[in-house]
Amino acid sequence: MRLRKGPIRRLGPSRFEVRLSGRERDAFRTFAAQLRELLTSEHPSSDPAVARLFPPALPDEDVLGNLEYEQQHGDELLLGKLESLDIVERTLERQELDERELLAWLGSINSIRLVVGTRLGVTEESSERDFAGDEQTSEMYALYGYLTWLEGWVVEALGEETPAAGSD
Amino acid sequence: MSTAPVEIGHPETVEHIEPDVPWIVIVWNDPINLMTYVTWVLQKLFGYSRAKAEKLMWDVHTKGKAVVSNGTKDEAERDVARLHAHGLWATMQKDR
Repeated sequence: MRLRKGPIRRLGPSRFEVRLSGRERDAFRTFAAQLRELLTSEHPSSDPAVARLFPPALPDEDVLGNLEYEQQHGDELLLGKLESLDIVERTLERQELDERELLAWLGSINSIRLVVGTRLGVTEESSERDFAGDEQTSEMYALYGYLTWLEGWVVEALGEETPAAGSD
Repeated sequence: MSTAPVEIGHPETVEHIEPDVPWIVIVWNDPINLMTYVTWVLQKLFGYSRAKAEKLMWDVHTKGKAVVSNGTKDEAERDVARLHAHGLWATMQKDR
């Protein structure tokens, strides 16, 4: 899997080709469903891994300011994430996406990585060995690695020039 | 440097008008967001050139944080919310 090139490729100004196996799509679907479940639970932010998606806007000591910010922006942040998941769920089987759809994929992939990475306690020096302890953890880390790989390609595809326009 | 005579002033009325202190928006390093993703977000949200976005991303990565924008409190708050929507760890504070 690591050696395969370019699962996401730009075809035009707002056209992207998606080449993922059924298993890969299934993995993404499972994670997307789990994220939705976490986001729609009664107190999403009580889970530190989910709270990572809703960071404070002001230094921690400004409790009131952060509360105001949350009241002001918390819902739109949550709705944006749910909307991205809607699009992902609708387009998961597709071989081609437009830019808005791919951006929704990117948003959801990144949110899932943040939750899973926070839960695993990933650091910049983390490697596979650190999570080899039990099967569930190593599986979670493998999927985290898969999403990292996929996200890298999505970002690359978004930054690609439209083929017809030439590239550097 | 001038050598003006020493002036012994009596500033009886020092005005305490709070200057319009600008706010700054800071992105903090985190171990999860990809470097290429952070660069892409900064380009997309702020219209920065690739070179500028990459420089800011490297500052975040190596120094732990970088100031990515500034403005009024409302502008800073809007930028923080957009960065949060993209999963970046961002905060705002008064520029002192």
